[in-house]
Amino acid sequence: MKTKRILKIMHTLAWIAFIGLSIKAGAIIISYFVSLGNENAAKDLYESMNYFAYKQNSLAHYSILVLYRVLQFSLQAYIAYLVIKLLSNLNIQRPFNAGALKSMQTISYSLILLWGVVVVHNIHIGLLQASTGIEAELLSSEFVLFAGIVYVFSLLFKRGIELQSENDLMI
Amino acid sequence: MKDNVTILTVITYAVLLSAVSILINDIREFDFQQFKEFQNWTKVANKNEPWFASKNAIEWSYYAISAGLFFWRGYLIFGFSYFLSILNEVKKGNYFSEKNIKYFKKIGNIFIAYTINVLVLRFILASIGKSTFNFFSEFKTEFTLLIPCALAFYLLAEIFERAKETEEENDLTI
Repeated sequence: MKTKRILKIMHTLAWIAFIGLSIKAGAIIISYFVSLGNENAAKDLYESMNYFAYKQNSLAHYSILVLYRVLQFSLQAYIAYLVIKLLSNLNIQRPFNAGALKSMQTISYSLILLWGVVVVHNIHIGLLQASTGIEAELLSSEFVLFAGIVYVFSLLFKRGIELQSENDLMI
Repeated sequence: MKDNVTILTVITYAVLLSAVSILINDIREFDFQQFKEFQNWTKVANKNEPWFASKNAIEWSYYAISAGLFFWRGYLIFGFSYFLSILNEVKKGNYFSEKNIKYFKKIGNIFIAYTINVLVLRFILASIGKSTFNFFSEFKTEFTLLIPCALAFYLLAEIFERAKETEEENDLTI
């Protein structure tokens, strides 16, 4: 009963995260196109995301930086979607199944890809700081640990599937 | 499997060490920047005033709460260190052991306890006028990562319990 409730709460949270992150990515795309016609829009792309200095410096760099952020939030939304899928497939009586394993592996690879995007973003704005003096605001990248954790859990899930199928064969 | 676990153990150690060093640095900065101010205040404070009256209580509670916040951050790092124990068990081949189930529950409990206590302490700190507190933004920051993680660990504990039962059934059948 308690586990079912936890599953329901997690499912709801995953949906909230998915919708919130999708809106965030969409809002940045719209703000970006608005900022092409209106200089001031770059000052507050989304929740005080200020890329005005980058836009004034170079439109190409500004566009690439916005692309990183859109990619970041889109990937996060995709991971939230994968979590929704994983939780929908999860049967607590028989938790180990191929669908859940595949979702876990995809989540782990997506987290590594997300980490890659964040690292490239940080290197890019670091280089821009060195060349133009625009103060760099680095994004945190500790979640690479989560990628590793999810991957190891997926390997444990694999072992769980083997155990479960051995058990089924015996029955 | 063993290689992946070893890599993850190294990453976990790196994250834990950096978290500890950041915490120590924050404590040191807090000590340097604010303790002098506190010492100066104690020299001029009115000793005849009852302790719990206004400024005395406010100054002391500020330091007590700050110490509390540092304690909870340390406790969260301690919670993360259970990952190392889990990885150690996995390395030994005890994938679905009783210990791992216990550790998952412990990590979940620590994450929840940290979130609740830090929120309460920050609220009190804001109410004595030493910091700004926006409940929604604070809650959003903690909520987006730690609470879902805590729930995930409770869920994993349950799943691992099932796996342990299956493993035991399998062993009995053999």
